[in-house]
Parts: sequence; C-alpha cells; structure tokens
Amino acid sequence: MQKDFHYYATYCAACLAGWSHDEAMAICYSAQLVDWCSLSFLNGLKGPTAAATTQLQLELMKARTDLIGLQDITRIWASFHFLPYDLHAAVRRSGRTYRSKYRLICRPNGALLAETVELAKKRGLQAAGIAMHVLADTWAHSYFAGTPSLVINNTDYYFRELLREGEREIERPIRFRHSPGAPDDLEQGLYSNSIFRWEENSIMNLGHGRAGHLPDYCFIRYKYLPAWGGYEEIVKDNPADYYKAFCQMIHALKYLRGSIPSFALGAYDTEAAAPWEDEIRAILEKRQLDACADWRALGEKIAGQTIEDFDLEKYRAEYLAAPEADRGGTFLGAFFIAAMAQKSMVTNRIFRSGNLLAGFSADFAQKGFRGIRDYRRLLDRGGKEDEP
Amino acid sequence: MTLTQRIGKILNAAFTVLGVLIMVWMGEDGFFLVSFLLSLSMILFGLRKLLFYFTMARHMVDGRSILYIGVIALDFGVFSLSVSRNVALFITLYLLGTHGFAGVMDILRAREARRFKSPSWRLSLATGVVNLAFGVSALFFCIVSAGLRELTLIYAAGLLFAAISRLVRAFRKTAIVYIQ
Repeated sequence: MQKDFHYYATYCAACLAGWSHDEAMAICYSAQLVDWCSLSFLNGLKGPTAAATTQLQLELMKARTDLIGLQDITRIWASFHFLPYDLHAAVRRSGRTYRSKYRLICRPNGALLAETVELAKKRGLQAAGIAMHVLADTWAHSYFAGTPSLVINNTDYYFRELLREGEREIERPIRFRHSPGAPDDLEQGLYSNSIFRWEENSIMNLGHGRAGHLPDYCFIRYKYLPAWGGYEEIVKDNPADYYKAFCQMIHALKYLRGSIPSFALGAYDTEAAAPWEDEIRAILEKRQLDACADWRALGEKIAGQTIEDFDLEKYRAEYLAAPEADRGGTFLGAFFIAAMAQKSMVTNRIFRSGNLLAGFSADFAQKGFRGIRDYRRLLDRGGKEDEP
Repeated sequence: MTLTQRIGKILNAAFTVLGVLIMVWMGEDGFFLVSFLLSLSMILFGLRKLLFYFTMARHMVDGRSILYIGVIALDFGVFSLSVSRNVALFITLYLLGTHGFAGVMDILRAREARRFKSPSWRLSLATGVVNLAFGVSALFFCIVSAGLRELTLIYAAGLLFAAISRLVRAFRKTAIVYIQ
C-alpha cells in the first residue's frame, strides 16, 4: 500500500472510529512513518537502529543476504509489511528450509494480526498507527512473504489484468519492465518489477518485488501464478480487499479507543463506513497511480478539518532537542519504542514456532537481557502504558 | 546466531586470510591459483543449484529451470578447469564487475544517507571510492601492463576485505529480546 491508504485512508478510518482530528493525525502519521523509518533515517537522528521499520531501495541493494543480513531483513519486513498468516502451516513432503519460508506467507486475519492489535492497546497513538499499517498491508501484500525467497515470491509471465467492459469482464496481459524510475503505464498495461534473479535469497525476491507495485494499487484486479501455489492461479481483487481493510481498520481502531470490548478477526465495521461507502468504493475503483487527493478530500469532508501533508521532518527537532533520557517521551521516541515492541513480538513468535528465519529471540522473562542494546529501552519503559 | 555459526564464521575468515597469504607468497603462480579457484567456484555453484532444486525449487512453479542451470554450470566449471591457463581477461572482468558494482552502489547509498543527514555517508563514500579503485586498477593492469602479479594482489585484497567483514559480523550481538 502507499501513502494514499496508509496516511489519508487511515485518517478517515480513525475519524470514523471516533478519534479526534489531532489523534487521527498522529495515528495516520505513525502509519505512514512505518514506510520511512529506515536505518538512514534513524542514523540521522542517532535513534535506536533496532527500531527500523523499513529499508529504502538503496539500503536493500546494499543489504547483505548472508544469515545475519537475511534475519535483519526478515525481522523488518515480516513484522511490519508481510505479517505471517500461519506459523505452523502444514506443507507436504518438504524440507525444513522450504517449510520455514512457506510459513511466512502473509494473509489477512492471521493470529499474529490479533496479537499486533492487542499489543497496540493502551500503548499510545504511535502504536495504533503502526498496527494499522501492519493490518492494511496484510490485505495488500497477501500471498507474498517478508523474506527474500525465489521459491515463494517469484512470479512468472502468466499475469492478466481483469478489466470490466460494460457488463462483461475481459483479460489483458500485464507486461513488466525493470525500470524503477519510470512510472507504471496503466493504459498500456506496462509495470515495473524487480529483476529476475536465480538466487533464492536475492533481494530482488523480497516480498512482492517480482509483481511490481500491483499489490499496492487499490483499483486493480488481476490473476497470476505464485511460485508456491503448485500451478494454481490466484485472483486478486484489490478494490474489494482494500474496502475490507478499511472496514477492519475502523473495527480495530474502535477497539484501541475502547469503544468496543474486543477485536475479532474477520470483523469489519461496514456500518460505520456505510454513509461513505459509495465515495470510498469510487476512489478504490478509480484507475490512478496515486489516490492521495481523493482520500484527502474525503477525509476533510468526514472530519471537517484540514489534513496537513505528511512531513518526515515534522517531529525531528522535538526529538533532537530532548535530553537523551527523555527521548522516549517525544513523538518519535514513542514511535521507536512501539516499533521495537512490534518487532520483538513478531520475532519471538516466529522463533518460538521453530523457525529461525527472523533470528533468535531471547525471552526476557526466562533468560534476562541477552540481546541488542536498543531493546533496553523497552525494559526501561517498564510497565508504562499510555492511555489513548 | 548459534555458537557453532559464530565459530564457523571465524574459521571461514581465518582460512580466507590464510588463502590470501599463500596467494601473495606464491607470486605469479598465485594467478593460476586464482583461476583454479574461480573454476572451482563455478563447479560449486552448479552443485549448489542442484541441491537447491532437490531441496526447495522442485516445489516452485517453473522450478525445473534451476535444475538445468545447475547442470550447465557444473559442466562449464569442469570445462573451464581444463583451459584455466589463459583466463586473465576472465579474472579482470570478474574484478571489474564485482568491485565496480559495489563501488557504484556504495556511492549511491552515500548520497541517500547524506540526504537523510546520516553521518554514515562518509564511510559509504569512502568504501565506494575504494571499491571503484579496485575495479579500475584491475582494468588498468590488464590493459596496460597485463601484470598477473597485480591482478592476483587485487583479488587477494578483495578476499581480505571479505574475511575481515565476516570476522566483525561473527562478534555482533544478534538476539532480539522479547519483553512482555
């Protein structure tokens, strides 16, 4: 998903869930920051590098794909962008390595999603924003895994866009090129994707790189053959999925706000979205590369407030001006702590399932502190919980 | 990272450094050792692809192509072993490709880091320049002096760099703490 959904649509969902304008802004800012909080960003702030929630394109190109590098990559992408659906999924007649990768395939409504939302409860607006990013991405990034893997994430030439021409549905071949700088051409059905590489752990085989940005476009319907699917095609209906994602965000945000007693997997608050359904569906169906303007207009209509642009520098000065010991209390400090909590939780679940792709997780309750220094911040925070 | 993996990394780095010392000590004959190593790496690549096919890629759509690549690479590696006494150009292209690409990537990375006001941009820029210098000097010695000795030294320096970074990684803390 892109800024249009992570920032503006998240704002709309937060408002419909009952949060105030300022709270909704903090939530959607945090949701969007997940796509920017890279190692470079953290180094620029002298922030905790373990709080990285993404890797920029060039960071990825430089990322090592040895054991440690792969674990770094997997922790970031599986925790924030490709939440695994079933860490104990059965795979017939396969070796352990293949099984480990297969089990990281992302899909909506997995047990880890419920844990992600629970983790964000009473941990502040930043944690809520991070959870909304993770939730939304489970819909967009379905069927891909947050670890480099040719045998899971590769796609082949069989790619068809499903278009509606009046009453009937037609198919059009999708063509890919390897030109990251060039915009996708919707009219010609020409999209950029990552280069095909034979190496299992090539960074080109991370997530949905081989399918280009198709999973990130709300309007598109397409079918293709995933590498892991045994030649069974998958039909992806993004407008329908994105609408479910939106309604699920409202449900989750209502829970985080305390308006409803529990968060249930598979529950969608279509009732809250109903007054705006036609407008939302119109945005989701509109063939455009960037729906920011439409979502923004809708958000301003819903809230009656002006939504400011996303500005990466917005909280930088506050963070740098704060004394070292008090940085956890700043906006970015709280975001970093929430990000580390999410990464720590997902890594722990993957590790406990017997899967070492995300590395080792030392359970503090049993073994004390044996890990990366940054995580002491989670300890220092103790039992502190922010009431939203 | 387990203790075994750490020890494995340290041993790997130690053997690489030993290989570098032998290569430098052998003088011009070191060049033939390099060409032998490259042929050997091609054979190992082929074998790895075959192993990859039988353990993982057989589950994958179009996975059989991995099998074909493995067989071809293995065959090419065995063939190149038999003609390994005239591969100066092969080694030069290898050095130019690997170091040149790494250098360009480091410099682009430095630009990005600088844009984010990250102090790491200087280190990225420095390693980028050094890598580019490696690649260009390999080309220079091949074209101008065709010096086998210099090509061997450049190759050895690259191996030494890899060994040191492996050693550094072996001592990194890696466990993620789970705090409820």
